[in-house]
Amino acid sequence: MLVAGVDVGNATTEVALARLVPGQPPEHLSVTRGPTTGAKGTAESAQGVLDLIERASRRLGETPTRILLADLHPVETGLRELAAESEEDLGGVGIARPVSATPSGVGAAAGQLIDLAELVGDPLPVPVIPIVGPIDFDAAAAALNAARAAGWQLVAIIVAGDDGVLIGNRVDATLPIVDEVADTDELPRGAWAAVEVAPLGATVVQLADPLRLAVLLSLDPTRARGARNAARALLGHRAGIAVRREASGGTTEQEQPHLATLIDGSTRAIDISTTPPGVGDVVAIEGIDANLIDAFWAPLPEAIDDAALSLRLRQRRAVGLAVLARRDDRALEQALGERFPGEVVVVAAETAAAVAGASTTPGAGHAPIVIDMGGGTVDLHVQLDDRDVAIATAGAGLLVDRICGAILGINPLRAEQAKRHPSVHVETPFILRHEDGSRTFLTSPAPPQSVAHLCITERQDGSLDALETDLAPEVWARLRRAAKRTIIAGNLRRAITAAGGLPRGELAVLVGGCAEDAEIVSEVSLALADLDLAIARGDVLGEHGPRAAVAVGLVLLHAETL
Amino acid sequence: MSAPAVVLASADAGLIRLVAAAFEEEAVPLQILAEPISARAAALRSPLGIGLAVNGAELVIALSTGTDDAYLQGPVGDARLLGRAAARLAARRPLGEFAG
Repeated sequence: MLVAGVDVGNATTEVALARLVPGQPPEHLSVTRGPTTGAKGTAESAQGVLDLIERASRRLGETPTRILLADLHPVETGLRELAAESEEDLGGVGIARPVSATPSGVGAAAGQLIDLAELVGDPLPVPVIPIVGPIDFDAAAAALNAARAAGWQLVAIIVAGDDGVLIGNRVDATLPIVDEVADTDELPRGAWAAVEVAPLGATVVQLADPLRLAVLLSLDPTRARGARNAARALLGHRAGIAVRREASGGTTEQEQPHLATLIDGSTRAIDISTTPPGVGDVVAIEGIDANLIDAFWAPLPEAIDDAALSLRLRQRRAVGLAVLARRDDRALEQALGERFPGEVVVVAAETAAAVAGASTTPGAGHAPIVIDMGGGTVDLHVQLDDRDVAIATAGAGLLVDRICGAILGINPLRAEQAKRHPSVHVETPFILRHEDGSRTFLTSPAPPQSVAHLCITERQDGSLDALETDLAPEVWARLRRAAKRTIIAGNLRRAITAAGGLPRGELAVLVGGCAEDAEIVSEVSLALADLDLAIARGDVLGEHGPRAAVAVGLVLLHAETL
Repeated sequence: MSAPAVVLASADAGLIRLVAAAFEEEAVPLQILAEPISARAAALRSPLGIGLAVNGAELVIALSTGTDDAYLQGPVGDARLLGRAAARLAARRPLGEFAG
């Protein structure tokens, strides 16, 4: 009998074809892999299964008569940025954060906003900050110099185009001038404003300090407190503009985190400052209608040794959430039953199948501890003489993708690549700087769009995928590893606690897609160092690496029943 | 020893003004050669290994190493933006528009 062991994961579906003859060991014929179609366990995921079976059957010249499934529970992962949903009242201070790479001058100054064209006639009795629209820099400089000569007190300049240095060189190279200000039309003429340009390599100090900002904008002390949100928003930028507007309290209508209800009836906010409880302790989550098995959440990682970056990440109040729900509708089983001409059999739980598959690793024998790190869950299976424990925890590879995507500002699909492959910084068309600080030289130039960018390496076509982030490769590598540590190793720790600990000195075999990631393996090894375990990567059937343990395991378990 | 600079081969005053403005804004040194040479030849004369020259209706940025082909090119009318890309290439900053 030809059978297809099928593992429908949250990210990947795997099909293991084998021939079974009662009383004989299975003849393993092939393993095929493809992306899961639709959510795991739904009717939509049947299409990916059938496609893979058809592909494998075509190669073999024979179609299986029985599909072997595991008992499936899907995981939903998502990421919520509370700061992006919040309505921040900047306390009567409007702000602009110019993207300028080349502002001019250094320092902070305050004055009245005025159009360049209005710098005529008798000068105003107060300092002014002219706004230069899209005009030629020589003409702008001439008008500004004429105004100065006429007695106008220019203390800073705001420029729409990329002409800050050009104008500074022709007017006064010491004046703080911010350029590339896209929305100069929206700056309220006549309003009191402050401009700051920090020295090269530094960030604004005065505008990022609520008291100094209040002094520059002549706000009274009560409004200084209200200016804290504006000051915080300018933190970490080389140049900034702050404009005094109508008074307001500076309160913040913050979006509230969702609440998780725990098994003891208490609630816990799903926020960056809270930790998820033990496995299975969350019984309900606000806004989620599901029969929960487990829930896990994690904030964006902290940037060690970089307070400004840590603050920037923290201010986003981003939380990645993974929820493992019980699925009783058998939708996949039914969909396959309707479309597959043979039988569909649910053989065992995923963890039991993973153990059977992992045990085909050469030299592993009967592995007493199997850790299956997939897209949706980290599953721990401990099988010893006196006990047999299986723990599934929500949150694995896909949650790491969400966190990495949020750090880099890219979608989870691209983040999956960024998570797996090392990055480089393209210093020049011929020089790449790697995450360990080493450099390599190219024989043909890197494409222009990659120059001075952090890039993901090892795309299928060998090209570099340039990212719009200012992170250095070594910083990104630390954040990426921290995400893997928090989610995969952190969840494994939760599973071990739920299992009541692990026996010291035993063999633990790692399987699943995440076990292909050397960084995750090293983070898991580090997390388990105190248990003195022999941690090995699975090599299913001695040829598939840590993949396909569940699919092959289903075949093995089913063979035992014949 | 030559001072580090990108070389622009052109005698066109209007083009020189736009490219020079881009280099001044980026604070990158630019050397002008009023010789009818290719961008590649200009790059070979540049201590920074980057040259610019007009080829037909295009302003070409070339490197002194790796390839004879244009590294970047675009319409002469976009000289300011192409000049900025060349200056940023020398300054190791993201090239922005015209980077592809």
